[in-house]
Amino acid sequence: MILVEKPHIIYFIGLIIISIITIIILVVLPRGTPVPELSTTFFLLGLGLNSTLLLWTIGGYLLFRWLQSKRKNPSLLIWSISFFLYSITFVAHIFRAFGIVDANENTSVFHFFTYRWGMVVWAGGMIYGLLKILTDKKKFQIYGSVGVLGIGFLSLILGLFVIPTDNPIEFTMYIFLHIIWIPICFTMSYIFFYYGYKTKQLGPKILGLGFFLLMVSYYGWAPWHFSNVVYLYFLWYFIFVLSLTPILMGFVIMSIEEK
Amino acid sequence: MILSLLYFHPIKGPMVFFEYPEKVPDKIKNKMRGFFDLDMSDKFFEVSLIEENTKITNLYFEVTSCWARGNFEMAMLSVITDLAYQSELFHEILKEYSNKISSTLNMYKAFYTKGFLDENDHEIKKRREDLDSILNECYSKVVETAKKKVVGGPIVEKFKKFKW
Repeated sequence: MILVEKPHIIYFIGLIIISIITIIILVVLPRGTPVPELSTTFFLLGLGLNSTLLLWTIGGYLLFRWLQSKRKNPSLLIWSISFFLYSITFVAHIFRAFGIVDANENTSVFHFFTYRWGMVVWAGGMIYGLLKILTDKKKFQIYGSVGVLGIGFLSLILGLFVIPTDNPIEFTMYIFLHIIWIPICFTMSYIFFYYGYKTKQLGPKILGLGFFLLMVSYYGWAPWHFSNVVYLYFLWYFIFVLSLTPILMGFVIMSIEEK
Repeated sequence: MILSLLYFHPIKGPMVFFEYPEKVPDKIKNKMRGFFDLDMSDKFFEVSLIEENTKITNLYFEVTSCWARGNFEMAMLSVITDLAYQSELFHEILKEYSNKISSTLNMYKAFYTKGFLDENDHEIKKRREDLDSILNECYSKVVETAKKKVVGGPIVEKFKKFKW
């Protein structure tokens, strides 16, 4: 006689369910239904989905910590909103993978702007949150973040709509990434790594590594976005997705270590 | 960050009498009992446990007692933090509050809450309340001071002001 302990009843129910599924599958031997729209874009769907889920998890966790800490750390809220807005780009990638033309940021410069402005807000939000920690002077907090937002939007507007070039999207990203994005990722990386090093905490160091990887992944964006080499752009996209994991882990470990 | 008060129980030896806002981990508690027993000339001392990323800042003091052997209770007030904090920060606070404890009339009775000498003494409960209130106030002051200054310079100091 098999003794079924009450606390493990869920395990046995699970076994019964998977046994039923196994029987059905072995009898029917089902075959997957083709989704032709994804035959050449499945990797974009995977990458976009993973990025979106990770960005939402990071944003959600930061929001949760903000509420848990009795709303005493405004940077957590600012960063949370920034990560959610940043995810717009990747939500669009999911729809683009299904062949929706209007979700393709490369359709026109207007489409590109529509799906990429979140990056400018993310950059401004990162700096605003950081300055909230580093200085009590509202003037510096506002000037710093508004400056980043101003220069960021200016690069997008000038690069996409004003300066005539053969490849406005790549040209814009060369400017925006190297003037705004990469220095901000490096700043975040350095500050968190420094904090982790000084306090001998692992969380901030992992977070610093995450921001560093994020920075590295964007070095590959513009040079590999041209149509003849765009397949290599997806390798940088993989690194980007990879960088989000230490960012999430870093924030989680940081709050655990604080306890 | 935890504030704890150890005292020398005549039967059980050194034991944690007060721990706030959370319990001292057993591993650290055992180590603290160990160095409570050390016969050191310095009353204020610090112990760094590198592997546990823990720093324990201690002040040993005595409370005059009519019930204890030798006519004094042996006590140690400790602040348990991570390694980023400078122990010197807490010296004055621990000194101030240990003086408060030892200068309160009949404070020794607070240590006999579970009364094995004279549990009917009406003062025991009152002194225990006084002691708890002094220690809670001490904790608030320690936290306030700790927020102002930590090892690692201004950046670490600013990060430590916030909850993560």
